[in-house]
Formats: sequence, structure tokens, C-alpha cells
Amino acid sequence: MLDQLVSATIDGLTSGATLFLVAVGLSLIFGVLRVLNVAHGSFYAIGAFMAAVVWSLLGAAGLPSLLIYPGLVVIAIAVGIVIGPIIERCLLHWSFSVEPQSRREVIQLLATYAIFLILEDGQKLVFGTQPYYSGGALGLLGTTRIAGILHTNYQLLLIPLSGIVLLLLRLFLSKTRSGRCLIAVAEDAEVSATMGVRVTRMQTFSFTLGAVLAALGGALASPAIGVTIGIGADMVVLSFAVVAIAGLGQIEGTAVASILIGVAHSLTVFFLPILDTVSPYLIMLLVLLVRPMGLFGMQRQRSI
Amino acid sequence: MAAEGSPTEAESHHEHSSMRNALAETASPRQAPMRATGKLRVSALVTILAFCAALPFISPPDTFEFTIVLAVGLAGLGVALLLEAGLISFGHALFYGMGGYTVAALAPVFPRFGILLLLFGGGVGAIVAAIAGLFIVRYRGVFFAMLNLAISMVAYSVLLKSYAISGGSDGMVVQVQGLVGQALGPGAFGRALFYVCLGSVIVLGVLLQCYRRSPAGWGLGAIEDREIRIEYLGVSANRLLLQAYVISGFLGGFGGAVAASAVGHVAPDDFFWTTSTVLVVVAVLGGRGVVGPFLGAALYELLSIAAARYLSNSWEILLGAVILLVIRFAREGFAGLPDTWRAASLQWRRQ
Repeated sequence: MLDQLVSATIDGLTSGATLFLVAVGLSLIFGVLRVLNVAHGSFYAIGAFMAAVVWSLLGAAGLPSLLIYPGLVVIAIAVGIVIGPIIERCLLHWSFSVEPQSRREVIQLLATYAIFLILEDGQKLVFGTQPYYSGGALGLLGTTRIAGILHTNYQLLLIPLSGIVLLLLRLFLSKTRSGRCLIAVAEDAEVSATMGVRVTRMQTFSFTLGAVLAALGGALASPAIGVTIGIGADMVVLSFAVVAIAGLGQIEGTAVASILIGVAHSLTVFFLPILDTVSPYLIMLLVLLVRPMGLFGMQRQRSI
Repeated sequence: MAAEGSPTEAESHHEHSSMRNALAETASPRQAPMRATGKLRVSALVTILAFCAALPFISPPDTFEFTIVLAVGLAGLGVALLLEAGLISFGHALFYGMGGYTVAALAPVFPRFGILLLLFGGGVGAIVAAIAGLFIVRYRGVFFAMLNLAISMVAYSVLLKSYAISGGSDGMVVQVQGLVGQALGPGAFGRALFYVCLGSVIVLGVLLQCYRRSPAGWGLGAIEDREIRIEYLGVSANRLLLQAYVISGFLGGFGGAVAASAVGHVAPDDFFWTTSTVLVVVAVLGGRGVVGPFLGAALYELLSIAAARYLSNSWEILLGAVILLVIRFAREGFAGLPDTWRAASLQWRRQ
């Protein structure tokens, strides 16, 4: 019983780690652009697909398999840098000036939803409908036995790795000039423009950063999952649940919420399998009923 | 988040209703049609309806497609109604699927009910909407959109798991084969279903138009414009929204029931987000108002026929591109194109 509890918790932490990377990207994009990026799950899926493809290419080329680990990070950055600016510049940017504001929100939701549709089908065209497996990458670092159950070191390492990402993100936002500009834009785009912040550049940058984080989540998760069409759609709903629980735009809160969701999910898989797909949403529902702005969210002022 | 701003009991009924009328007068005068164009529109509508009624005779083999267009249009109408309050639902497949599964489950139990079962489909859609709505109408914007999506995804996964009730991924056969108490052959039933559906479209369309022109209906537009103001008028925005949500659930359930009866089969895909996409596309493509979504559904069907021939593998890419183009260049949808053009030409002349 206790063994199961321990290993369920570890499983939850590892899945929470990748979930955090995706969700924090979503939160970041929302914080700066005020856009809920429905296409975010597709970035995750593309990262996962690319990682699986690169893994099989490595094998085919006879290169050392350990190259996959730096490879995963490079893939994520490449995916984000290619997709992010194109989408933000070409398909999303026009919508920031839509008036009235109440209409803008619907239009932006529809726009990212349309991008999501395009990317989902694009994956089918590019990667086909067969699932990809890169499970070989999972065992390269060996295994550790915790409470009688073998865990791969790779998955265990994901937990501190996400912690490092969180730390770097926080340092970037509060210590560097561009990070502070980003926060300024998130607070008030107009005022920061008058202070000389290049708002458009910041918007593109944060969208790209969010895309990189989502792709990183996908690339890191890909050895542990079967990469198939449809993981993007599931992920966008799940990461929204995380962000809604944390409160939109809350970075540390997102970490707490992803751990909560990850652990709760794996506990239900172990002990209450009938609820396994529903548990994240039940938690979201409960949290939103008690705190409509999320656990760490702030009440916004309502203007008349 | 909006607090419950419902009128207190002490408030007299007269005062309440006069407030609502004030609300109706102040909200969005842009939508009030001129009398002459109103007459023109009515006669155009009658012509179109007459043409629709003649369709099964013009092209008998396509009766099935026409029925599906009407069914999807009805469900899309539900999405379009919420769009008037500035809210988009990415999960209306929930109601559409519920309507279909209700008919599938009840048809063997009440074989003599025939086409009356469609009303049950709509009813269950409305009940589900009333339950989910209690929670959902408290949210706006991205939350409204995503919570709808989340609930429909949960329903989809629950459905896949409960094999004993729903047939899992196999779905269920729908045995609606006649009018009330009277069985019909497949061809005759197809035609009957089409006319029943067309009749319901007219009845529901008129009812919905009455609702849209009632104080509660005007309130939806006001929710989009400035929600807090209507609460200062003593009207609960959440309650208005719940009414609209239930109506929208009924329409979704009814549309799903019609489609299930026409196809003769329901599958979990009816609950999947891809089905919600169809309804969103139909609503956005068609535009606001009662006629728009049917126009949108017809366009969608034409598009899917063309796509099946030329780009069967990139169907959703096409849908995504269509949504992007419509929200960029024809924000009011196809039904609103004349207005969009008028506004654009006015602006052009001013320059």
C-alpha cells in the first residue's frame, strides 16, 4: 500500500513535470498577450513528434544514442522558434487591435482554435497516423529502485529539470531587462509602450517562449508516451485545467497546480481507475467553485 | 466574476418589467431593422423556405444531406445564440451527442413514439445544459469556452468507458423508423424526417426570433457590451445566460437527435471536439441571427462535399483556414456580409 503510494506519487511528479512546462508556456502567453492559445497543445504534440523522429534518425545514422538528450532541447527550441513567430506575426497579431474588447476575446479564441485545427491536420499530413515510439531513450540513463519499484532515471531527472526551468524563468523575469519589460507589458501594454518598451517585439518574444516551453514539454515527454495524433487536443485541455487552477498568469502557482494535477491523476490511476481521465477536471471544478480566479489568481477590477 | 445580482423579492413586478423594457430599448439599436427591408426580408425568407420544401423533389437522392444540413444548422443555431452574448462554446458536441444517444436509447423502449423522440433528444439536451449551465454560466470568455470543451471531453471519455450502456466505441444503432405510431419504409421515412425537420426549423426559428426580440434576448447583446450595466438595471446576467444556455442545449440536442435518426447510428465521435468544431464553424460561417447558421450549415456541407473530392486528408486545415478568413474579413459571417460590405464601402467613401 505504502509502496504503491510512493510510486504513484513519483509517477505523478514526473508527469506533473512535463505538464508544468506546457502549462507555464500557456500561462506566459496569456499573461502577456491576453490570448488563450488553444493551439498550445499542438506545439506540445509537434515537439513530441519531432523528438520521436529525431530518435529514429539517430538510430538510422548510427550516431551515439546519448545525443538524444541535448537533441531534445535543441528540437524544442527549433520548433518554437520556427512556429512561434510565424503564427504570432501572421495569424494572431492583427487581432490585438480588434474593437470592442469584448468582441476581441471571442475572435482571438476562434483564431487560435483555427490554428489548432490547421496544426492538428498538418501533423497528420507530415507524420502520418501511425504512433511513434522512442521508448529506447528512456532506459539509457539506467534505473533506480524506489520502494520496490523500478523507475527510469530519465523520468526521475525530469522533476529537477522542470524545477531548473522554473528557476531560470523566474530569474529571467525578475533580473533581466527584457524579463522586466515582459512583466511590464503583461501589466499594461499601453503604459509600457509610452515608457519605450517595444510591445510588439515583447509579444512575439513571449509567444515564441511559450511555444518553446510547450515543445520542450512534448519532446521530454515523448520517450515515455506513445506519440499519436490527438495528444495535442488532450494536452491543451489538461494544461488549461492546470492554468485555471493556478490562476491565469501565475508562474509559481502553475508549478503547484501541475504537481497537484499530476499526483492526483496518478493516484486515481492506482487507486480509483474509474476516475482516471476525469480527476483533473474534477479538481478544476472544485477549485473554480471555491475560487473562480484560481488558487493564486487575483480578482480583476470590473469597469462600468 | 459576476456576483448574483438578481432582483430582490421586495421589488415590485411592474418596476422589474419596466427596467427590462428600458434594457431592451437601450441595448444595441444597430440591430433594429428598417420596416421596408423587414418586409423584403420576410418575403425572401418565404421564398427560400418554399425552395427548401421543394428540394426533396428537385433532387430526391440528396434528401439525407438536406436533413443533415438542417440538423447541423439547428445545433449551430445554439452556438450562434451564445455568440450573441459574446461567448463561444468549444464543447457543444456534448448536447449534440446527448440528443443522438437519447434517441438511440429510447427508440427500442418506445417504438411507437417515432418522430416524437426528437423532442426527447432536445429535452435531454436542455436538461444537461441546465445542470452544466449552473456552473458554466458563471464564467465568461476563455473560461466559458474551455470549460465547455473540458466537459465535453469528459463526457466523451466516460462514454468510451461505459461499454455496457453506450456500446463504447461501436456506438449504437438508432431505430427510429416512422411517424408517431406508424412505421414507414426507408425512403418515405427519409422524406418524412426532412419535412418534420423543416417544420421544426420554422417553428423553432420563429420562437427563437421572438426570444431574441424579448428583453431577455436583448440582454444577451448587453452582456457582450457591458455586463455590469445590466446588473445595475436589476437583471441577473447569469440568469439571462442560463436561459440562453438551456435553449442552446435544447437546439443542440434536437439537432443531434435529427441527425442520429437520419444516419441511423450514433458513435462517440458525436461527443468529440471535432463535432464541436463543426458547430463552431457553422455558427461563425453563418453569422448571428436565426437564418445565419442554416446558411453556414449549407456552406459547410458544400465545402465538405468539395473537400471529399479534392482534399480528403486536409479537411480540418481547410476548416481552420475558413474560420481565419471569416473572422478576419467577414466578422459577421455570411448572413452579415451585406452589412459588412455596407460598412466597408461607407468607410472607403469617407476616405
